[in-house]
Amino acid sequence: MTNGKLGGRAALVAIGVVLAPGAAEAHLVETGLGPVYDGIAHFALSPEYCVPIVGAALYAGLRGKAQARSAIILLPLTWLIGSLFGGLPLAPPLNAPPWLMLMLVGGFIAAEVPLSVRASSFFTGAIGLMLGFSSGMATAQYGQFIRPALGSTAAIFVVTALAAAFANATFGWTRIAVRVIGSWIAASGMLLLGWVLH
Amino acid sequence: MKPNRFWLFLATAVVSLPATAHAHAQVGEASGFAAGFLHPLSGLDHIIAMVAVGLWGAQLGSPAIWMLPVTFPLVMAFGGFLGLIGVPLPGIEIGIALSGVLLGAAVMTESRPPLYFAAALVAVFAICHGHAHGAELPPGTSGLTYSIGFVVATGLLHACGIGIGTIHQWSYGRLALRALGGLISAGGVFFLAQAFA
Repeated sequence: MTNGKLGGRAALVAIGVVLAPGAAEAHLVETGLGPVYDGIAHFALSPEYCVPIVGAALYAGLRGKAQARSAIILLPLTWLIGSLFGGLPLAPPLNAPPWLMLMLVGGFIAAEVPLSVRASSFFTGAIGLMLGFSSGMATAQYGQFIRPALGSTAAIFVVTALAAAFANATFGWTRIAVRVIGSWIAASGMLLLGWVLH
Repeated sequence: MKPNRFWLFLATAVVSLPATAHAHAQVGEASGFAAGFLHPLSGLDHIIAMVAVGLWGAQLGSPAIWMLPVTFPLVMAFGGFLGLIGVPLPGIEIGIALSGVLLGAAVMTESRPPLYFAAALVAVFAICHGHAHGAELPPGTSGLTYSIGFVVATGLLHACGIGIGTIHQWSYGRLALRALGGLISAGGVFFLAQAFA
């Protein structure tokens, strides 16, 4: 066999190897639009992350303007820090139970627990950190976590600003609506706990 | 086989190699929400009781109009929790039917008991409804989305009741509301007869 023929055949097999399909891990973070959008989609399509985050923002907005301003900065920031740490190879396998997050956040909203600005900031920061860590661990399993974390952080900034502004609106009915939503979140958490123990 | 065809066959085989598919890592997300959302709507005995809670809240006015929809889902979820972990509660079907009878009667008679009594009555019935739903949860769906769908549907039924109850501000509306309460109570009697049958 001549060198030309051998090279052509080797190229044919090489093209085949290159075109061979990789492992299909659909429906988690792969949107086809790139890792930043994957991160946004992962956050938006995972109720175990987006419901407590929206809830924490609603709680902050319900408590007043100072808490709302604090949450708009703290929630995305702590989420980002948590995501980056959660994506590290040696990160401990800590995972915040979704039922606990839902019951905690929903209960705080429904009861409108009167926390100070500092305590409220600690609360929202802890929620962002724990959920971000879980999300970072999940996205790291699919190869990358930094750009998905940036995408989800941007989404959380927008969602937090909107939810906190809604809860802080001066219309009387919004406060009632937010507290009703809080009771729904807490009720979902309680049912989920039953489901886990089932 | 000629050498060229052999290499072509090999290349085609490599291209066609299926890798391990890990699709649908989050199983049952959409079906879980749909199943949970439809579950409270699947029985008329549940629907009339949920709507009656909203109607009664609208009749009673503030703070009952918002306190009942806030407390009902929480207590109902507690009932669902008990059903899920297998805590038996006897006479659940009778309790569900009675909820239609008594809540409908409360709307029909425009009953105005103290708030704590109204809340306690609604809470007892919420546990009955939650327990029945919790004991009937379908397997294979996402627990989280099922729970969210279930609670949202229940809350929206209350909202329907409150929305209908706003006709209370007009005199003919008050009459219509009381007639609706009578219908709900009659429905409850029907389900009570079925529960004892």
